[in-house]
Amino acid sequence: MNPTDSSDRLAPLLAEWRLRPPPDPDFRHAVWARLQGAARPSWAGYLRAHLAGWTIAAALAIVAAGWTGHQAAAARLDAEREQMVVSYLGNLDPRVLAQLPAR
Amino acid sequence: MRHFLATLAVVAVLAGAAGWLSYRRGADPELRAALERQDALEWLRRDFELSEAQFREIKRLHDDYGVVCEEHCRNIQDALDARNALRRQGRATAEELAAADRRYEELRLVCETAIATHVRQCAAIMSPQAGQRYLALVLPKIKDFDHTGAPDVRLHGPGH
Repeated sequence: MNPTDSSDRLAPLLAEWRLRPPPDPDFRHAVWARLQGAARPSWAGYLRAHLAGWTIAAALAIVAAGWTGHQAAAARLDAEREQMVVSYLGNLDPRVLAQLPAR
Repeated sequence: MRHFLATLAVVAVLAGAAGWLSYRRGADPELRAALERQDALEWLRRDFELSEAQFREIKRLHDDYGVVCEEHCRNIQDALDARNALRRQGRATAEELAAADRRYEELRLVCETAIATHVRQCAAIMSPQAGQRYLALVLPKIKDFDHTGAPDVRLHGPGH
């Protein structure tokens, strides 16, 4: 087969060929959306980019919350202990049992 | 901005979980249970880390003191009744009223001394550190007598 003969037949065919795609009203919007998506990083990418800052912020927030939780638990325990001491002494103290008024 | 807010929300959730866990584990659960049950002896055992021998000894002291406590209670009540009766009669002399007042105050003092002695004996059974902490909790209240709330803890048997 002679390649020159083949090219000679193909050239007029290509010259006559016209592509007529169906009109797509959303084409432009879709192109812009793809462009913006390519420009915006993913969440994982965002985290990788800000890893140090967020790690420090998370560590500080967790330590602060843990400390606050511990303090709140201690405060509640103190209040319950105080109530217990009052009741405990109420059982040991004849002045309470005799219903004497507080000083 | 969307990623910032999402990350912030995750950090907030993590911090909240850490705070909640710390709050839940912030106290010995058995101590908490004793406080919620108003179980005074169990409170003493957990809060002051009593050994079994210390616990038994303190329980024995409390049981023994219960008898003394009842007697003091009766004496104080009698002295108070006598004084109030004298006042109501209106015929008592000033000396008689003063004597009744003195008797009542003496009994209050005897009672205050007895309970302070009792708690010191209990503290002596505990470890030095626990004993000091115990005394720091109870002695000021005994001295100031500001614990007149209803005695509703389980400390002695049903007879007391």
